[in-house]
Amino acid sequence: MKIKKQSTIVETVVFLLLIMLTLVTYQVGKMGLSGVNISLGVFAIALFKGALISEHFMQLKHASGLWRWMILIWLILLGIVIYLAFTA
Amino acid sequence: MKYTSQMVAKPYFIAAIALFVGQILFGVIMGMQYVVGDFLFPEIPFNVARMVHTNLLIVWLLFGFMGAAYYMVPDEAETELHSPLLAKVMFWIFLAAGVVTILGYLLVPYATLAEITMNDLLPTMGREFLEQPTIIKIGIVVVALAFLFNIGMTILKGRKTVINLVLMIGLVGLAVFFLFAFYNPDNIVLDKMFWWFVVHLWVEGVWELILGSLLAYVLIKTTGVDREVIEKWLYVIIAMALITGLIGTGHHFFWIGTPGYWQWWGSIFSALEPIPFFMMTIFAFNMVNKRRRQHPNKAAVLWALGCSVMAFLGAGVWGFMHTLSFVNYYTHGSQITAAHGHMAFYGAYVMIVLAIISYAMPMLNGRKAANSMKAQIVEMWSFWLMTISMVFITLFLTAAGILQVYLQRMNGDASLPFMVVQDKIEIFYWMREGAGIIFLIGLIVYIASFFVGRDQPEAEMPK
Amino acid sequence: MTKVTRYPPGEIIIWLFIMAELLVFGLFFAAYAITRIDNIELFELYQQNLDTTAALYNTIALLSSSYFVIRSVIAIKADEQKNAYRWMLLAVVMGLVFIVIKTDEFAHHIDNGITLSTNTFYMFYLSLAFFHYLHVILGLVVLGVLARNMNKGMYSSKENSSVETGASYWHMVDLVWLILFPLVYVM
Repeated sequence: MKIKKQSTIVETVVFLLLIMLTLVTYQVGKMGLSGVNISLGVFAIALFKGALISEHFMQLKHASGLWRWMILIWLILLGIVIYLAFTA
Repeated sequence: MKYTSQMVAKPYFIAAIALFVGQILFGVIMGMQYVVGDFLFPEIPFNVARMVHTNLLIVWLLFGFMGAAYYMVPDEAETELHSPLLAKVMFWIFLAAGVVTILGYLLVPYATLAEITMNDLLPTMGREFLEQPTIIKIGIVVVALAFLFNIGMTILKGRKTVINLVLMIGLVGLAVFFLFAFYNPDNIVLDKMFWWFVVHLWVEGVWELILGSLLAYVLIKTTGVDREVIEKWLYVIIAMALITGLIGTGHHFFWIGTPGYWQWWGSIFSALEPIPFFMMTIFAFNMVNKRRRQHPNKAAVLWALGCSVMAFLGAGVWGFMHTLSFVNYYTHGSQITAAHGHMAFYGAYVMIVLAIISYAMPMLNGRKAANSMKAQIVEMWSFWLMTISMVFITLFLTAAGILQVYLQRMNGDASLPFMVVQDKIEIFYWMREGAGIIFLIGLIVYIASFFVGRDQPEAEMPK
Repeated sequence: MTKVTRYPPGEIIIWLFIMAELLVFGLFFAAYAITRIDNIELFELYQQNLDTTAALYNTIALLSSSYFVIRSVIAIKADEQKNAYRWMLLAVVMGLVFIVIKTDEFAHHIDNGITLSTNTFYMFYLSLAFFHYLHVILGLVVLGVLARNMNKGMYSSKENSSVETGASYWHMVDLVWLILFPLVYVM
């Protein structure tokens, strides 16, 4: 029961964090801020959100070896491609 | 063999192999015509040989699929076939139609054939792979409907398994997409587009379901792995095959006049078509490694494993090589396409049909589970002869294709005309012909495997 | 929930599928970014025509849906079938909210005569959004089946592999949207 309560709290905190980060991203878009650095910052937030999904919602933090890393590696590769494309 | 009605599969398998021989003979003739242009001219012109080679391939694979379905569906559904008589009647109709068509191609000029068969009432002739006279096409539809009815009724009255269901979806898809063979829009872009609805959506769409289903069946039977495990794999494989295969049709729409987004859709989705094939390879080896029992039919297991590997190489890797639109811009319609076509058809569809024949034939011939060791050894020899020579056919054609693309299309102003290039790559065509003859020898060995060791006892269950 | 297990939750095969799907989306994202290099002005201009507020609501809808699925998984592991069923229903509702909003966006584009051929930006935007949309629909079917089975009492603390399998797929759909949203709407 204790474990259940604990994980409920963790997932709820993660969820609220995800919502908050989403609102930040949205505000940046609304404020009409532009520029490469802003874009990359926004994308970094997105990657971080993706990592939260992978670690917590998908529960991959309990998986071992490559299983844990498969989504994170996807996010990192995507980050590299986007970084290169937006700074090219 | 549990149900006597499974016996109707036998004539289908025999016809399939007989037509396979015809296909290879014409392949060898055509391979020779590549280097000796007037070989057998005017009796068998190149375009006729090509038509016979490709049409026979499709017809014998269809015979193989039908035989496989007639063998597998009653076994999976645990009931007798709905109507063995209908299956037998359809066999003779289909065989007669096939033979008449091929004779028509060989004996009268194509234009005369079109006239005799009254093509102008409903013109459908003249498109690659769909050259059959309209009346024959209608016959194919009738046979297909009767076949689907027979199989469908059997599935309905018996046990429903995922394997049967996937096969059924594949077969229905096969019939439905064939209907586009009757649709000939005047607009040449649409004409080409719907032509691919038959050609691509068959081999890169619904046929993959048939392949997956037959492979899963052979693996269940020979490894004894839990049905549940196999079904999960099958679900994911067919889901991937459909996602990538259906939208991947776009890789044929690059240069025929369709909107530009097909460059992206076609490239991205078809680039992922190797994934389901890769999964199939992992699937097959995984199941064989996890096997719960040893099966005495070693040859069938070899065909099944070989099929998963060669399908991945031929359809997956060789397809990927020239599927991205900026690559295909140069390679389109070159010998690279031919290389891919050969290995993909052999790996994916020829080998799965041979796998199921290899698994079923001993039982159809009254054995308990497998042929004698002697027959199996001969059969495994034929496996290696045909498979290795097909690898070489593919490699030689790939080499020819790369040179062709380079000399003819990528050399700027110094690019050479088609026929000049053909002369320059002649050596590869000779080597391809050599490999083709070895393939023919492999096929003869394969047929011999049905006749040797008949008086010897069955292979034992290995310990 | 703190022990380290070797394998990810659910059936292993779903993870192969998820990786294959992410590969498709990854290629599409990369193609988008690379094409953008030579069309920055075009992309930035038409990006402004997209409804960022609708996308925000959709992000919140999918995130909530994912969260409800997690709650459902936690509940079923504690053998609380009723709660698990309710959370799953909520997840389905939030997924439907996404579909409604997104359908409205598509209808808006169609009204304005926008197609895949309008320009390169719209080609990518519509392709990505629609492909993802299809995934949401598929995911909803999966969640719907899970909810129905939960109502029948088919799952428990011991028998929940299907729930975790479906949940993992749904999180992937969410994950893709979390990348798609900033990349196509904001950046």
